[in-house]
Amino acid sequence: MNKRLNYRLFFYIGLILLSGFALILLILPTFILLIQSSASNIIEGLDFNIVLEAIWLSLRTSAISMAIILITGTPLAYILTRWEFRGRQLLHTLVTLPIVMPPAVAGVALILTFGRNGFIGALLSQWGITLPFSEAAVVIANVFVAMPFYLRTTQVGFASVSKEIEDAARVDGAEGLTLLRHITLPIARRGLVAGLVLAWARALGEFGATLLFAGNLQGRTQTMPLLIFTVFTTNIDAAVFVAIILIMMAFVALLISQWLLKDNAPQEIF
Amino acid sequence: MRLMILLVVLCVAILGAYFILVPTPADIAENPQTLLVFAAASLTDAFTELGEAFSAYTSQQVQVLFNFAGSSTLATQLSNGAPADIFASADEAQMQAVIESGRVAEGSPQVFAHNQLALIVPIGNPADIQSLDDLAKNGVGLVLAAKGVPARVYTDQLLSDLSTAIGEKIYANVVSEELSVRHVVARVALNEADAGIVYQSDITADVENDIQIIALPAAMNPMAAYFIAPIADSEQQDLANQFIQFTLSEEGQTILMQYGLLPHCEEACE
Repeated sequence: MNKRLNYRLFFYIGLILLSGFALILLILPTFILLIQSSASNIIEGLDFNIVLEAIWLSLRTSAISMAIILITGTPLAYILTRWEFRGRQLLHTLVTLPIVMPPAVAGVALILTFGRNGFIGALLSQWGITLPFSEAAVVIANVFVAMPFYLRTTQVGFASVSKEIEDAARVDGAEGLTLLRHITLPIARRGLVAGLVLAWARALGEFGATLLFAGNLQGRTQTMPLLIFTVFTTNIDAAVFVAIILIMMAFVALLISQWLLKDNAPQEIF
Repeated sequence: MRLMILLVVLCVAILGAYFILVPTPADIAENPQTLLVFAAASLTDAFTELGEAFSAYTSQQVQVLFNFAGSSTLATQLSNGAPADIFASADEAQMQAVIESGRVAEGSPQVFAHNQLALIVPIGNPADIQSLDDLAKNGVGLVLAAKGVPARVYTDQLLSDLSTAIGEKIYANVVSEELSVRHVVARVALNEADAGIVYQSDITADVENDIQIIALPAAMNPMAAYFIAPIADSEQQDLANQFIQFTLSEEGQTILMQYGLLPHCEEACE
């Protein structure tokens, strides 16, 4: 009996110690950042117009990105969850790849595809469209890195709709779009919104691919992460200040996303 | 369960092996044969060769490690305590910033090289740039170094000699501001930008075939001065001073000149 108690004590202490290390690594830097920012509440030499422009650009481009992700990503997530076909697993892995791609790799890949000499970019430039250094480039970079997050979460949402409910609806004559609109989407809605919020937070923080592909110009392609990177070399206090705003926005987004994914949250079916 | 135990053992083994086998930064610092040099991005090629030739100069095996980045980025890193033995800056302002942080002793920096600007365009010159004034044409995509980067300071000097109207149009054509002058070169070499202003030393063998140089009026071209200094808290003052002497020596200057830099004693040495 005593031995068993000792064993349990040892187990719990081990758990707490190890997760303590993980916690310190994950939370301390953000905490220090907050302290740092409150210590230097006067930010000298920071043009607030630049900050406002960056915030507005970040909000604008991430909103457009979310619209694109919602419209094109939802059907893709549905197909990946519901359709049985050869290579589905491979396709699923391929569309998830941008999550683990180093930012510089993503940026170079986008340049080689959509750049002036790129695979698609060369075609576009014949029509007089140049993507690099434009707001459109920021959106493309956002969609590229954030869509996989939406797909993953949304697939969970679609998977939670049991086939039996869908089949029952089919018996009652619901097909195609009607079935999707009245049965599948309402049930999976929570997963969809959670995925969208997660993708939005990721798009807000997008840095590497944007820097390489869209460039860094105030008001046009300088989103909040790029602004932080730029002022970091000249004015660390200002960089910290902008970073705090960005973290707050991402934090709220994650909170919403998690609340939506919680199982015991009110679930409206039908 | 067996798999779990195997995994845990594997993790511990990897961590243990890492701590035993990989030298810590303290080991590297104690090893007198390693020198860590923070150098402006425009020095990348010249200093790499200097580092290789340094062992022969001192007739002992010295491994020179480099951290190349925009001088303003390096200055920020040094001011925040990055370990280093030498700082080579592309202008006086960034060296001064490091002096103010206490990492470089006042009076110790010396001019070791000069550089001048070059106007570059992609091969084929898509925007038909023939002079500085052409940069003001509608639709030209110009890439410059970001504010604070020495190359930008010199570029602003160069452009301030033009009429205000033309200058304004040129700045309106800027599509991206890079945090290292080498990224400006890459944008032009990749044909993503129509023109860029960089140093003459940035036109290296690697990009020679991808870009064209447009002559700048010699009288307008500012003379960039490069400063080098030992880091005050470096434990390898002797070796650091030897490297600086090597940079200033005839052999060192010859190497620098091979890479498009100008000697430090252009007038006095004759």
